[in-house]
Amino acid sequence: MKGAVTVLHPGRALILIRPLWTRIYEWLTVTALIARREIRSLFSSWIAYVTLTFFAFLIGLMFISILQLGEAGQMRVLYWNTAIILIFVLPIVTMRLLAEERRLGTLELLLTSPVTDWQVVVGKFSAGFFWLLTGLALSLYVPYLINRFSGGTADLGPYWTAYIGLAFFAAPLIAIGVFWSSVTDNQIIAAMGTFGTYLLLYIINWPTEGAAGWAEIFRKISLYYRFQDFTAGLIKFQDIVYYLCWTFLALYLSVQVLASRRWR
Amino acid sequence: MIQVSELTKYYGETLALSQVSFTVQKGEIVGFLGPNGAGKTTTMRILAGYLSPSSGSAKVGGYDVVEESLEVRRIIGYLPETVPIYSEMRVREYLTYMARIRGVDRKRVRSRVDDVIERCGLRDVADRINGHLSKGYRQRVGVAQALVHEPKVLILDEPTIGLDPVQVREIRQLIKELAGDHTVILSTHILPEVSMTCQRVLIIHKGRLIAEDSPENLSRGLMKSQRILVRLQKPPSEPLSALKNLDGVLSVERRDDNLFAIEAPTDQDLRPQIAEAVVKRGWGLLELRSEELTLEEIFINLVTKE
Repeated sequence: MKGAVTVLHPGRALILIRPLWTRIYEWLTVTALIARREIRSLFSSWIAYVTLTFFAFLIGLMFISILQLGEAGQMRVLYWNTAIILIFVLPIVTMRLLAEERRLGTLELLLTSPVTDWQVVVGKFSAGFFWLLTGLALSLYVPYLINRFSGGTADLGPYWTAYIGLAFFAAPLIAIGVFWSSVTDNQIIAAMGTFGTYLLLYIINWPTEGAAGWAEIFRKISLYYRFQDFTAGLIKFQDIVYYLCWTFLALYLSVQVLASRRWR
Repeated sequence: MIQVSELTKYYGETLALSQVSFTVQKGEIVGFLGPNGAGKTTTMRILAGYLSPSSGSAKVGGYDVVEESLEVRRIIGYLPETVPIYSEMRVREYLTYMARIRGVDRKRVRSRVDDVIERCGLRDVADRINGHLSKGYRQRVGVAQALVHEPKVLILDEPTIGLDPVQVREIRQLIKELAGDHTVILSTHILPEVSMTCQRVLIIHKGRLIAEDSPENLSRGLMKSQRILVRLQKPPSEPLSALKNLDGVLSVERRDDNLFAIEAPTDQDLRPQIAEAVVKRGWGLLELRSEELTLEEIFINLVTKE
């Protein structure tokens, strides 16, 4: 009975009649607005530039040292290490996403606007992801130069899968960053929590190295372990699903944290 | 437009709001009055859909603030206590962003932003960065963002706090102009503010609603007697008996050398008689006025009455 009453409500009825795609479009428009504002804010502070410079510099350094060792064929090591650099750099990028809004009090404004908690969280996640894409774009000279100097004979396939892998590997990391940023208004704590979680998920398979049986589970939990296949040119469906599950879980928890303010 | 019934809110163990009920009609300006920590901000946050009540219900424009939070948020404009602005954005950019977030049609955003910039007197600073604005301008930007989507209900938490007297007057004027089209609920801890802008006052203390009336009735009803202040140029050495003997005077008190406070019943105005008596005796009337109850006194009155 209660459901019927709700449907008959004029506002609700109108929403039900509207075609699905308009609703999706509207949902995305607002989410994109939140993301765009965050990106502009990120790139109007020093954080984005310092982290991107640091990130690009380290990749350049690794690129040169791999070339000097004459191991151009082993370029996947570069991408393994890129993933590890992300573990250090991403907490600094994600720590401000929600914590800054909380500190400024603008979160209160955002959450009293006709915006769902999911839109806020996905918007923030997208801003973090934009940083990642910018960072990865800055390293595209690596496959370019390899291709150029090999005279077009190099197999670039593993490079592209490595980039796809990095994007999927970083998605849960960014989502975990969003989560920690939703928990506290102290950005240092948000960064530490994020970094701690990353490390845990990174090394969780170490004690199980070489072991079989139940130890297999820990290896499967490790985010980093699965990433290595991507750099070998392998894209496995279950790995992608795995990364997406982690991303969803972390974003879901962030939404729950935002929603919990109402009841505290 | 707003129906609140038996609203109760606990923060952990602490009771912040207890059984608060009131209604606000369309087009009304209602003031929420109370000391800091009385529960004003909590009530406003619940109305704006930021917090959920522990029990009780609130409806804004017919929508339940918990069940239909998004619908409520579509029709309200909210100015929190700490004016929330992104310090790296420019004023116009910020208002445009807020308008879009609040669902203003893309084609209308520009004209809406121009309109609030004009109404809130922000034309000179429209292209400045928020972080560089003075406190007064920040507050106006805060009011502007609450207005930009033409909300039916405006919820303003301490809209004039920290402003200089000229700015306070401007904001009050602006709020008054909004009545009629918009329903306004604002909080303050300054009594004159309420009497100047609001048609009705809700006094809240320790989480409970302890009085609800028009500002005039409130101060009149609470005074058992009225006080008239007389300042004399040449006060006689013994003027008290002469004033006391006037019909209706309850008591006379000497405040300082030439200032006297006369208690009189609220139902009759003794000022003409007092003036006449003073002039007749040649004491030199410098000042004659009835003393208004301050918020403090109303408060002490209400709280001690309990």
